[in-house]
Amino acid sequence: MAASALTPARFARVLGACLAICALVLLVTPFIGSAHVDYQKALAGEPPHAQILFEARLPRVLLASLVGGALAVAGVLFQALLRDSLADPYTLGVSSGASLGAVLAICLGWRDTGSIPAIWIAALVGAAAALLVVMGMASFGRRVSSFSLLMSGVTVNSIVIAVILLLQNVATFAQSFAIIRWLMGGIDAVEYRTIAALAAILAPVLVYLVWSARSWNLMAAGEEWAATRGVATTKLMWSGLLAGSLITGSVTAITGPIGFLGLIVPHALRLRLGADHRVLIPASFFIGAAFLAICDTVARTALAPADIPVGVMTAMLGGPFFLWLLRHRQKRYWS
Amino acid sequence: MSAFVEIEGVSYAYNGRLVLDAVSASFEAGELAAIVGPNGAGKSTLLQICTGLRAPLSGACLYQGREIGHWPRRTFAQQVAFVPQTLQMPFPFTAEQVVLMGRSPFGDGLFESAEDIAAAEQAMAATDCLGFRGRDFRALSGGERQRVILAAALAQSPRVLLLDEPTTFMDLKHQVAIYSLLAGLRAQGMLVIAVTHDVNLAAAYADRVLMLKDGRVEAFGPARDVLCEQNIRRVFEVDCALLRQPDGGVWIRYGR
Repeated sequence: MAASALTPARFARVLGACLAICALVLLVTPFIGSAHVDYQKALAGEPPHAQILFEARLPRVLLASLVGGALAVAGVLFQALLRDSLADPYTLGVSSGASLGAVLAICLGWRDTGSIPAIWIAALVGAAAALLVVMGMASFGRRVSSFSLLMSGVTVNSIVIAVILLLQNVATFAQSFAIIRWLMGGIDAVEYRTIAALAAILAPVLVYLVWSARSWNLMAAGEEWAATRGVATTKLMWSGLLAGSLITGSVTAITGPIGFLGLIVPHALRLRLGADHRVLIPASFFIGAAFLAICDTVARTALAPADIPVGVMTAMLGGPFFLWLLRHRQKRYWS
Repeated sequence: MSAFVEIEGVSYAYNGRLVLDAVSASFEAGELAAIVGPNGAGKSTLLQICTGLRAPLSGACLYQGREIGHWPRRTFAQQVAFVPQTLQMPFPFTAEQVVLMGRSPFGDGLFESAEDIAAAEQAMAATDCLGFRGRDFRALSGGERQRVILAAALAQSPRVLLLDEPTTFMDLKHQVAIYSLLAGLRAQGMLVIAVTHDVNLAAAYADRVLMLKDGRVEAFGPARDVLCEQNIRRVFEVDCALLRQPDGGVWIRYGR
């Protein structure tokens, strides 16, 4: 059962456990796959063991874990912001918005500015735009309706997919091949530089979110509740929107839309650890990281040599889960 | 020298409909005041203006001589606590976690201090919440939830306590217990302002009563002067009789 006042000891214990699970998964999953990798030979730099481990599997596992952790945290954040446990970057259409941004950047051949890839910026702008549209559609004054929120998210998703398909049809062959990535997300073995860049964006956002977690607790209980307990609610709301867009935009720019992770992981952790965001946010990161690393390992091995995009897997797991949550909630309302 | 809480000609409108029309009243530390009036009289809106949640359309609401909108929010929250009617909780926070939220204006760190925990403990004891401190707030009954919300406000150790119908869902024992508690806090120097529908509780516990109707002040003064038969008939539009009790108290009988 969730304890109440959070002590440093409990915080350390819970996060230690989550970190241990995550570390275990990161240690084991790179060795799973169709080709056998010998640990000692790989460390000795012996081909092909070293190449498979360090150039194919490890970057992929690292990217999966970073993306999984980030999307789970984005889920927690959107849920607190909108006070609705069905909110998630994918169900809100934020992932789709980021995808559309990325696709536009490819089709229009936007140049990178300095060291920041144009796709990243476009995805960030797309994520923020989708979030603002969905929130604008679903809010009435200061209240946000769950129903309108989900409907707006579904609609934004459909429109974006239609536009991406349209662009794909008029694009050149090379472009259209690249665009597929933004219809269904997947994890690739990317360069370590890209992983480091993603980590550099995510780390400060995560630290900020944990640091402001007590305010998010109050916000999750209600805007008036937070305001009368000293929280600058408008400022918090905008910084939350910015943080959510940053996370979703930067992740989607690399992997494309991966759905429902932000729904499954926080929901499971709330049952186990309670609703306190000081624990929930960092725990979601570590467990989300482990979860997507496992999903991606299954995705690349289950039908080997075929490689299923991990977005297909999370949607197949998460879609039914979402329906179950919806049904469960109706029961609560109608009984 | 201005009053502790001073409402000066406050007006407020929702979508062009005036719900408060030049309301003026002042309250002092160490008093228990009740705001009464029929539905739609503007009671809750007036209370929300006093909490700083809404800014008056015209007029001003001052706390310690300074306009409420000009107070830094955190400092204000360390002194003025608000008890809403209900709290729609979407997540499984425990009762104790909700109470501890009242301590957030005081802490900067990630963790609650020993002082925070002691204040929450004391507030839960005062409102009889210790028995269900570990339970999911959403699984509590309406009255239990109200007690938890009140405990969260008490944990703020405020100098002003503003309550919006704090005992609506409570059983008789707890209604009486909560009003006795409020009376005790008043005796320690707190200013307590409660919006209520229950004229008898107001008559029994309040020092002064502010009677509102259609956004205007109908009467404001000592409880026994304001809660008279004519005022109740006129404002609430019900027939009533004041029954004097042998101990000097009154019982307001309305309807049949």
